Amino acid sequence: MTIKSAAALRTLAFVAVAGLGLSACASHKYVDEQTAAINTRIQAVEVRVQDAAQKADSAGQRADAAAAEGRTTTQRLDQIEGRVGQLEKAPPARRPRG
Amino acid sequence: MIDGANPIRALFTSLFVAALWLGPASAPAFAQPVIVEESSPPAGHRPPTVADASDAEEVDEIDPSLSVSDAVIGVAGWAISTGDHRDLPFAIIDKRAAQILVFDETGKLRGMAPVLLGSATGDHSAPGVGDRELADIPMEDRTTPAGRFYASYGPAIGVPEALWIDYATAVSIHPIVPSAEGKRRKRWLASPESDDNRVTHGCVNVSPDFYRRIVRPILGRRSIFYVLPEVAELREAIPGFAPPRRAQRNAQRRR
Repeated sequence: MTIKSAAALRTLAFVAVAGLGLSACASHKYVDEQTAAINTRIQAVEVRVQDAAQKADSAGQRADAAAAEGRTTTQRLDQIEGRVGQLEKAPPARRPRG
Repeated sequence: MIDGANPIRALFTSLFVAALWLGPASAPAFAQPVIVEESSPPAGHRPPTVADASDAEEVDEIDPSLSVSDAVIGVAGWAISTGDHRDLPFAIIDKRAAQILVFDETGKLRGMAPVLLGSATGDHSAPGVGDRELADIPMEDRTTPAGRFYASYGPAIGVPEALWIDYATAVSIHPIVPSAEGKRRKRWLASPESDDNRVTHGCVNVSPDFYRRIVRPILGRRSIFYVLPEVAELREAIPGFAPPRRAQRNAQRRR
């Protein structure tokens, strides 16, 4: 093998390694960006929800909820128990509405 | 002239180094939930075997140009604050925006995605609609009812299992099925407009991936669904719900 062909092989090997390395960096960067984008938006919504929860977590809200709960608890439990009972006994099969 | 083996050795060494370098990149970038699929349909009413979703799993399929409405945020905050979700995982469906948000039992947001909904506008189900064949449901009765629902898996005709939102009116949440119609539904689901998401007979459709990664593992055992109204008042549809401003005014009056 000549010096010329050896140099060509070295160049080829360098290009191969560099190319593979750069593509690995690119895929890491892409995944990081995608993950960050998802986390940022979900976290932003999460912050809004927690803020709303704090606003709702007042004495008035609790009183309202308790009053409403008192009015509807029996009815709700009846509904829930009725539905669970429907499912857990031998319910008639239904077809989902697509 | 130099020894011909040296360049070849250099090439193999370089490739070996490259392989070592690329090793960590082949590890999975996202934690995937482990879902134990059943080989046969569940017997009777028993819920399917669903492994716990990974704590790290968060999925956002909503178009980046869209946002989450204040109504959804208000109901989520109220449900968490008052404990209305009874320590169960819960979902909020915004019919106007055609979106679903899924929270785990601690109130942590785990996923949000577009949904397909009943083609008719309205918040109530027509009497007896759950007993009708799909083709026999009049266009005006193809609504997705609003309200607070206790959801769980149950028996169904045509599919091994269904996650029923409201069994009495045959409303369930399920993935888009692979078919010609399913391909059209996927397109409608993917578009940012909400008008073309009103195509079902009343059921709620999500993407197969969102169903597999979020709906089934998180909501699959027992869960609460809050389906926000599009015509009726929020307080009328969700029992006990009070907007924060009203609660604050009440608190100020008591002082």
